[in-house]
Amino acid sequence: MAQIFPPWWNKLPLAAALAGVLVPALAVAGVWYFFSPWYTDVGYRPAQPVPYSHKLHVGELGLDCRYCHASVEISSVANVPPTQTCMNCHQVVKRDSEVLAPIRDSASSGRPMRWIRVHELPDYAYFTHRSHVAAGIGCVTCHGRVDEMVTVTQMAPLSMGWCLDCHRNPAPHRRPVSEVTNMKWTPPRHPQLRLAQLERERPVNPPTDCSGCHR
Amino acid sequence: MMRRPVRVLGVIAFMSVFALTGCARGCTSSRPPIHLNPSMDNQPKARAQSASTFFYDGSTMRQPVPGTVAMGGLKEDTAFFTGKGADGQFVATIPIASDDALLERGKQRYTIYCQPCHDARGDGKGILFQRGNVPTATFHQEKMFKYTDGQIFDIMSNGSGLMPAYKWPIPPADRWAIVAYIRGLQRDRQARVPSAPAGAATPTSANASASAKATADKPAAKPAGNR
Ligand code: HEC
Ligand code: HEC
Ligand code: HEC
Ligand code: HEC
Ligand code: HEC
Ligand code: HEC
Repeated sequence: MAQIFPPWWNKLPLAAALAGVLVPALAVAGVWYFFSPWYTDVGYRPAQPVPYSHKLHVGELGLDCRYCHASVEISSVANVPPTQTCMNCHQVVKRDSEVLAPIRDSASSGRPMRWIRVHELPDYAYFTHRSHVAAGIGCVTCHGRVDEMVTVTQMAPLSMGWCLDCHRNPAPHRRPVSEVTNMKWTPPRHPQLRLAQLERERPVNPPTDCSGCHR
Repeated sequence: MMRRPVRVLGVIAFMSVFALTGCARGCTSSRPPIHLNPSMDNQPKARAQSASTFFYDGSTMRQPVPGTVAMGGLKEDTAFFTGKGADGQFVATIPIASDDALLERGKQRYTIYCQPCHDARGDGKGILFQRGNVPTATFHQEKMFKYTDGQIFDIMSNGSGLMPAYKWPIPPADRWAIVAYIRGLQRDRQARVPSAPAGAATPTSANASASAKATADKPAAKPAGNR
C-alpha cells in the first residue's frame, strides 16, 4: 500500500517553525527599515526650477544664510528669498545666463518664483525657527551641511521622535547664538564647561507636552 | 529534494528586489516622500510662501491694501524710518542712541548684508568686484564722508545705481546700526592712515562714543523671556 505521507513530510513541522520565525522577523525588519521616516523622508532632493547651488553661493562665495533667509531669526518661517534678492547680484553677474531666465522673468513680471518645497512638516505640527535659532541650535544640526549641497536635500527625518530626542536633552546640540549659521563650527575643548556656561547664560526649556507642537 | 534550493533562491530573490529597486536609508530621490498614513498632513489652510489657486497672482501671501496701515504700523517717526526729518532733509546723525551694543549689532549685520560686496573693510572689493568686475563704491572716500547718516540710511533702504535696496531684509533699527558701524570703519581707517584727507570732512555721528558708557554694563544676553 502506498504511503499517504511521503517521508519528507517529517520535515514539515521544522519548516513551518522556521518560516513562522523568519517571515515575521523579515516583516518586522522590513517595516522597521523601510517604513521609517529615515527611509521615506531623508534624502528627498527635488529638482528646482533654477539650479541654484548653496555650494557655490554659501560654500564658495561665503554668503551668510540670513542674507537670503532673512526672517529665520524673527519668524517661525525661514523665508525662501524673493527674486529681488537674486537680482541684487544677478542684474550684473551672469546676467545673460540661460539657467537664470526664470529669475529674470519673475523679476520683470512680478510673479513669484515657484521653488519646490523640500522640508515640510505635516500641517498639524507647528515648528518655529525663531526659538530654535535664539536657543543656539545651528542650521547644520537640522539641515546638514547645506554649504556642500548643490541641490538642497533633506537630511533629517523631521519625525516626532527626532524632535523629542533633542527636546528631552537639548544641551549637547547647543552652540553660541553667534555661531548659528556657521556650518563649520566645532565645539571648543572642554565641552562640559561650555555646556554649563550656556545653560547658565540662557537656560532653555523645550516643550515635550503635546500642545507645544500640536495646537 | 528540489525544495531547499528553491526556498533559498526565493529568499535571495526577495532580498535582491529591495537591493536593486529600492535603496538604502538616506539615498537621494527626487520623488516626494510617501507617508503611509497621510492623516491630516495637508489641511485646507494657507501656509507662508505657498502657492494659491485662489488669488490672481498665484501667491497666498497678500500685500496690504493700498492706503491702509496695519495696527502699530504707522511710521510717524520719519527720521527713524526714512532717514529724513519732518522738514524733508536728511538727518545729520543717527536718531537712536548709539552705543557699544548698537555697534556690535551693526558689525554683525554688516557682515551678513554688506560684506559680500563691500568686503570686511569697506573697500568695495567683494563678490561683485571679484566675479563681475563691477566697481563697488568704497566707504573710504571723500563723498562718503560728506554723506550724512540719513543719506547713507536712505541709500541702504532704497538703493542707488547698482547698489541694491535693502529695505526688505533689514529692519530700520538694524539699518541704523549698520550706519553706525560704517562710521566706525571710517574712523578706524582715518586713525590708522594719518595722511588721509581728514580735517574738513570727518565722519559725522559725533554722539557715537558719548552715550556708550550708559549702556555698556548692561547684561549682554537677555534671560529667556516668555516662559
Ligand atoms: C543666495 C541666497 C541664499 C543663501 C545665502 C542661502 N540660501 Fe538656502 N535657499 C535659497 C533658495 C533660493 C532656496 C530655494 C531653492 C532650493 O531649495 O534650492 C533655498 C532653500 C533652502 C532650504 C530648503 C528649503 C525647503 O524648501 O525646505 C534650506 C534648508 C536652506 N535653504 C538652508 C540654508 C542655509 C542653512 C543657508 C546658510 C548656510 C542658506 N540656506 C543660505 C537661497 C539661499
Ligand atoms: C552676492 C551675490 C549673489 C547673490 C545674492 C546670488 N548670486 Fe547666484 N551667483 C553669484 C555669482 C558671483 C555667480 C557666478 C560664479 C561664477 O561662476 O563666477 C553666481 C552663479 C549663479 C548660478 C549659475 C549661473 C551659471 O550660468 O552658471 C545660478 C543658477 C545662480 N547663481 C542662482 C542664484 C539665485 C537663484 C539666487 C537668488 C536666490 C542667487 N543666485 C543669488 C552671486 C550671487
Ligand atoms: C531645530 C531644527 C531646525 C533648525 C535649527 C533650523 N531649521 Fe530650518 N527647518 C526645520 C524644519 C522642521 C522645517 C520645516 C518647517 C515646516 O514645514 O513648517 C524647516 C524649514 C526650513 C526652510 C523652508 C521654509 C520653512 O520655514 O518652512 C528653510 C529655508 C530653512 N528651514 C532654513 C533654515 C536656516 C537658514 C536655519 C539656520 C538659521 C535653520 N533652518 C535652522 C528645522 C530646523
Ligand atoms: C537639535 C535640537 C532640537 C530639535 C531637533 C528640535 N528642537 Fe524644538 N526646541 C529646541 C530647544 C533648545 C527649544 C527651547 C527654546 C527655548 O526654550 O528658548 C525648542 C523649542 C521648541 C518649541 C517652543 C517654541 C517657543 O517659542 O516656545 C517648539 C514648538 C518646538 N521646539 C518644536 C519643534 C519641532 C516641531 C521639532 C521637530 C520638527 C523640533 N522642535 C526639533 C531644540 C530642538
Ligand atoms: C517637539 C514637538 C512635538 C511634541 C511635543 C509632540 N509632537 Fe506629535 N508630532 C510632532 C511632529 C513633528 C509630527 C509629524 C511627524 C511626521 O511627519 O511623521 C507629529 C505627529 C504626531 C501624530 C501623527 C502621527 C502620524 O503619523 O499620523 C500624532 C498622533 C501625535 N504627533 C501625537 C502627539 C501626542 C499625543 C503628543 C504628546 C504626548 C505629541 N504628539 C507631542 C511633534 C511633536
Ligand atoms: C550686491 C552687492 C552689494 C551689497 C550686498 C551692498 N552693496 Fe552697497 N553698493 C554696491 C555697488 C555695486 C555700489 C556702487 C553703486 C553705483 O555706483 O552705482 C554700491 C554703493 C554703495 C553706496 C554709495 C552709493 C553712492 O551714492 O555712491 C553706499 C552708501 C552703499 N553701497 C552702502 C551699502 C550698505 C550699507 C550695504 C549693506 C546693507 C551695502 N551697500 C550692500 C553693491 C552692494
